[in-house]
Amino acid sequence: MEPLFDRIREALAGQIGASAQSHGVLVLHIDAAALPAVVRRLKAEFRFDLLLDVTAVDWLGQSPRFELVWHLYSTLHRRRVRIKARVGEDEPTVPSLVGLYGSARFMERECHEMYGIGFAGNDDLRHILLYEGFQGHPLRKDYPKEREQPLVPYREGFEPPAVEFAAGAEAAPAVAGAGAPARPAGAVLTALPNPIRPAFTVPSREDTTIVNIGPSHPATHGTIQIVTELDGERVLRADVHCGYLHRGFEKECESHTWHNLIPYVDRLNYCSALINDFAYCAAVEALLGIEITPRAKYLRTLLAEYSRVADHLTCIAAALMELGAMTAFLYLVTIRDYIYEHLADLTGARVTYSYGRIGGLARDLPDGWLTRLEQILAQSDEFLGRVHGLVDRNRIFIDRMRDVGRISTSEAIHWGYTGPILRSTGVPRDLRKDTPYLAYGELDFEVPTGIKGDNYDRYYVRMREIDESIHMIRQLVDLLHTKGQGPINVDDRRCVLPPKPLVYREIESLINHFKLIMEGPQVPAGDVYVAHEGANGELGFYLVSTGGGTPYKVHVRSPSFVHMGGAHLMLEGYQLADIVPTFGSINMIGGECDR
Amino acid sequence: MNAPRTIPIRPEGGRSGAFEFISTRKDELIGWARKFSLFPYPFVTACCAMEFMAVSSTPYDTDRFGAALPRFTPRQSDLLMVVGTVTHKQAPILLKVWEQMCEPKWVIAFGVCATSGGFYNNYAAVQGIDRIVPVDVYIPGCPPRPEMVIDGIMQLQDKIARQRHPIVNERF
Repeated sequence: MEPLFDRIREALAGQIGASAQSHGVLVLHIDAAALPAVVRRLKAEFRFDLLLDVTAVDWLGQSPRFELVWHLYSTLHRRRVRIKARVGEDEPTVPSLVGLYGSARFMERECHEMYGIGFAGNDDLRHILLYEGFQGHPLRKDYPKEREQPLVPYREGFEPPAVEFAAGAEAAPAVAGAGAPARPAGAVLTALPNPIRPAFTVPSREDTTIVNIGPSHPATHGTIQIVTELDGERVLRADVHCGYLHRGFEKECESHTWHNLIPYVDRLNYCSALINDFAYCAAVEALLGIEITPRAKYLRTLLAEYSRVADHLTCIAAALMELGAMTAFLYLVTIRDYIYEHLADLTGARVTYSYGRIGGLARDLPDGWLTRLEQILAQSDEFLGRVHGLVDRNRIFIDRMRDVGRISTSEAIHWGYTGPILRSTGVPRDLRKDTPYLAYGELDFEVPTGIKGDNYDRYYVRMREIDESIHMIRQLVDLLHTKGQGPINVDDRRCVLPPKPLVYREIESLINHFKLIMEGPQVPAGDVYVAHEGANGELGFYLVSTGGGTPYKVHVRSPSFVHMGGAHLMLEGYQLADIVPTFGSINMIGGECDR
Repeated sequence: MNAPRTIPIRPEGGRSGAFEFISTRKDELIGWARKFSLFPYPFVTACCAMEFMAVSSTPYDTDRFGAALPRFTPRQSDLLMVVGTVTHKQAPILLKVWEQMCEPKWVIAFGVCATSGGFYNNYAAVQGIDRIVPVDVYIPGCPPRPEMVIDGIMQLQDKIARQRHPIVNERF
């Protein structure tokens, strides 16, 4: 065990139960009542300053039923701690951490609505991903996956889904559409239900007004809703609502095999789908104890950086377009389209690739792929230079970006920020440097940081990260030629399909193929948290396996969701119009935020 | 060498010439005008937004079909493009946007989630936006390639050209 972990165990000896080191993470089992004391000491004495994630596991049939899981990270020691506590089925309540970490607010709200866990001390447990009136807790194992609760009555000709609730539960569904008769054609619904409950509905002063922005608003690319209180043009309070793209990813995962999740994982952060793929595959490989081949390692690193370029291009292009810089948008989207077509040559799809595989990759590079790669990189260098020339010193751009949407380092860490937003405040925290994974340990690159944490810094950090990624891609092309020859998949029949000719020739391979497709790879029981540096920040996968071909639980620590938790800080005190560039520079991705 | 002969646009003498009058059916004329001036409202929610950006920018350029200028208020638009997954939480907003649009209006379901819920078969996703609003053209794909989107827009144009276009009352 690591020395730091031993010190923690010694210091907390009286307050914790069992503890162990699992996949590089210190796991502490505690009594839920001791949580604030343990976390306070971890934060004060061992500098665990980031609360990464709060989630729960529903062990239906066991007692106590729920297992709460917290992940903490120390930016000083670069280590993670996982805290686990069990609570029973009747009125499950644990102490809240909102007093210690701002980021706990959104995470506890999510955990509350998904599992019905109460957090004593968190007074804001409104719905966040679901909507007002939703009955039940969808991630509990006894909630049927397909039980829909529509908010609006369906059109004529469409059967409303049958809503049956177990005896003892609240009898009638509270949502308007469930079980309602169909809506005849031409009927106009005047009173549509409001899916959210704003934090405030009454102005705090006589001369202020409350203005709602979104969720279908051109400036909030992605579906986000912001309820603001305005003093003239100045935002006094902002209440950020997400969840409009909650597609039930985590519930969906529990009914598919480990391999079949890859397309779902792609659609989390759809701007850089390959990073999600590889992070998910790495998490499953950690559970299986697999080391991928050198070629797969270099290719994954190359494609992850390539995706990062595409993601940052999308973010900057959209942010610039919203400020009226249409030319820069067209330049950046043109390069992005080259990248999409280039990746389609390799993977068969332009946006959502399904290219990662547990134990390797779907296929090797086609002929001439690396030659075209260099052409695209050269072209993007030129276009990025033009974008720098167009906007960097542009008066309009500077006026709207500089000193707007500022966030300080301490606030950013308090609210759980990672990725370009945290780096723009001056903290060189990057998982690729801090805890190198894939081939990042062998590469030469810098971690660009900003100074003030304003919109301009976020823009510039992303532009510099594109440069660094291109620099890395060029090194990786060389590494692929020198050290990266050989197979792309590991030779492990637990997860990798046997070669097709063998499937047709021998019965063992045929059975192996059949079992892998029908039952999925048998992943050993256990849990693991693996995080990669996504384009927006720390993208973590917390997987729980009970030893079958289907995951028991998949939880995503998505950077966008955490960023939304503190987004009001970057909006309050600035002008109403500043919401547009600030949101552009945060780069909220709906699929990842709402899952 | 002879001086070049100019052909007057109007016949000399002020007499009316060719092409001053055409005869056509009212519906064909209005349909022809309407199909080339689609003002889309992008109801953009999810992954398909990436392809929507690609379709409307340089390499694919929907401007060629008269459907380039997005209107971000439903009251100025006549084509609702539902781009991406619509969840039950989003459904009231979609319905409100659709109800705010003036007639005539058309709806494109962009991508397989808007068409049928896609592979999200669970408590959160609406299994096809036609449960909420009527749909004219469904574009499959997850997300669809830009060529498919352009094909979808062209099919909608054909549909508009063939439609009845009442302008005064239901019969005219």
